[in-house]
Amino acid sequence: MTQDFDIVVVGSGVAGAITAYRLAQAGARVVILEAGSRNPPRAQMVGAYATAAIKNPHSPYVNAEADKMAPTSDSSPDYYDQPPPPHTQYKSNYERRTGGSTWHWLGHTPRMLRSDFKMKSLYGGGRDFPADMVDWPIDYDDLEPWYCEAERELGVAGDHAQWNNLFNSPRSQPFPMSMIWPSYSDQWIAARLDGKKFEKIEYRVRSTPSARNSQLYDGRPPCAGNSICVPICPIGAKYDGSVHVGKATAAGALLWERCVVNGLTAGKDGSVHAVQFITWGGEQRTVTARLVVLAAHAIETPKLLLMSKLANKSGAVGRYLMDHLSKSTFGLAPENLYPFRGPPSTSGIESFRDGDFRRKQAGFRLSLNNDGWLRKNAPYAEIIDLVMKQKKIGAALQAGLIDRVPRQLRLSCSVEVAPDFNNRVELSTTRDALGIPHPKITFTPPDYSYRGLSRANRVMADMFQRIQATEIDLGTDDKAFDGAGHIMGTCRMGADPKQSVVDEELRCHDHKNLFIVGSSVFPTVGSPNPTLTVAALALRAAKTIAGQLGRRSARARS
Amino acid sequence: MVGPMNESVPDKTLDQFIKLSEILTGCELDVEQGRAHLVRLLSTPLVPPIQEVLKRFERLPRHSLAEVERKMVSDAALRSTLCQIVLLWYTSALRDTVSDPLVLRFGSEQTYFGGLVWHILGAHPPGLSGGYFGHWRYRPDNEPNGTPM
Repeated sequence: MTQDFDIVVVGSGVAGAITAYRLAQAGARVVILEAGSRNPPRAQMVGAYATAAIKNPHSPYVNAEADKMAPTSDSSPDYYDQPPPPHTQYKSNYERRTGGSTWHWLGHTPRMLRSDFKMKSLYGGGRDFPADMVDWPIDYDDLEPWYCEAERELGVAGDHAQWNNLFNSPRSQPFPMSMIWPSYSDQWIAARLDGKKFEKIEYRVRSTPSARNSQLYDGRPPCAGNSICVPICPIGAKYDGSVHVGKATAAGALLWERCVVNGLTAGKDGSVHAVQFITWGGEQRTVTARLVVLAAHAIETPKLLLMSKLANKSGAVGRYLMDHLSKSTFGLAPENLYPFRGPPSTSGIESFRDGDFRRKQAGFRLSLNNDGWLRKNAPYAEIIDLVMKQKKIGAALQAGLIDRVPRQLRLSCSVEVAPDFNNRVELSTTRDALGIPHPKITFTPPDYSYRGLSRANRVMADMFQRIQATEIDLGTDDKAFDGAGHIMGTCRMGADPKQSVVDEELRCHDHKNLFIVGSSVFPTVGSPNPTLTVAALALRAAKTIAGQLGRRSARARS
Repeated sequence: MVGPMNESVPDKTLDQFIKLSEILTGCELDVEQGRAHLVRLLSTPLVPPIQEVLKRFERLPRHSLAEVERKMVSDAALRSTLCQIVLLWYTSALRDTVSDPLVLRFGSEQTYFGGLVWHILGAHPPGLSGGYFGHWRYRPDNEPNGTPM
């Protein structure tokens, strides 16, 4: 059975949901195909987190059927087919469920900088500059109005004065909400760091813009500082994609869940009208539409194109897989900073995101965190240590905990990963329960990024020393990193159809009615968290798609 | 005093458990919560079992902190189970002592959110602040006792 729509959107994460919402608002007949399912009530998921033995990003969302039918590396450790360690591992995960991975994002929404869009023009040419680093086909000014629009749609809290004109990146409008207040720890650190310099670069602590409400906004409550933005906001103060799924369906879009897309078919004219999917029950179905929008994140989108043998005349589909290199470091402050209160991170340092150094090494953001040494099992490990090794009980045990845990501090960095042709997603020979190939991943960070990571390590060491921290733990391996959860690249945007998958409007070069939204289209990534840029690009693309749909409607009528 | 009779947990056993727990944790404890914790400990294979630890406690001449430190905590053979008692009250977790790295098995969501350690630290359990927007900007209302600032 085939049904016909104006638009099929594949994926209901933030990119797909916003696109579907805007197009449904414009009167288009929209259907969203979602591989996963909707969540149980939020309180039930918070309960699942509370009782989970391993409190990772997936712990509220564990569901045997969903994890089998729409697996990811979040739910299935062997989902990524990649060479085992010591080969570098790609470590970032995502969710396949209604609303997508924003369910477990931190909520930070810094914009990309003006320079991030023009890396090759500004910094290219030297032997240390990555060969595959390119300019975006659009610039900051093209996207700036859409950043403002995205901040309104997601509901971003921030301080205009702190962020306006950061590295020559002006803001034309204030944030829709005042900033998330900095934590006690942030203020304590700022008092000791602001104005100090590392290699001539000045520290300045800024409140991080976040899609967390600082007031009642869009029907959602202000943040209560429940501390678990990752993996789930207990009260919905943090934006997630389900907000726009709700708006899209209210505007008339249909949402078909548990429908795993496994093929697209192009006609003789190259246009893509048929989308094949399998239901969780195993039924193979097809839906047709005048335009198709892929919004299945930067792993599933290229997988789908490779499975369909589409949009790849450039050979770039699946290529240039990126992330941010994340690393946590730990120290014990000389005074209480009172962690385990408030959002996990409320402030950061942007000073190292841009500069002439980017000719040779990556830029990075730094985050000040409010979760103590939770990632080193605090306070559980301290309790065990105090009882088992130090034989403390009663008041002495409490005193031992009070002496250490409130002073624990975690700093972290998020380092730009340069695009590299060889970092890629391919189709594995391993298949999931529905017979769909797992992604085969190849990923090695370029030396350019490792140099940035090395500098970030030195900066964090300097910060700990300046605040007179003790027990500083920078790790033993200068190259060790974690995934940031920022999966990007694989369907890069560009002006040249021979070297890119989509044009500046996010339309596939090879198929004029096939669009791709989401972080897969990023040609380069800078160092900011990607979601606001994803949303801004989706809003911009939705206008293009609506225009293209309108022209086709007019032609059909004439 | 101990609450109503419960078939699986005799009052006397519960009474001993609460007394020992209060010495170990340094906190005044809820009896009904203690009953739930004790039931969980009784169904968990511990070395030594909780019953043996409670018998040792019962045999102490005085149920004081000093006596528990001297006669029980100093005994390496008992310490693991004593630590489990503390961990349970403080965090709702039982430690899987076999596995490495640390694996914790938490109790119900009510006991997780009721873990005592968070209050001791002037914090709140991750997932339930009970606070207002921006409270994290200030020192906690329940500032840890005796903290030098």
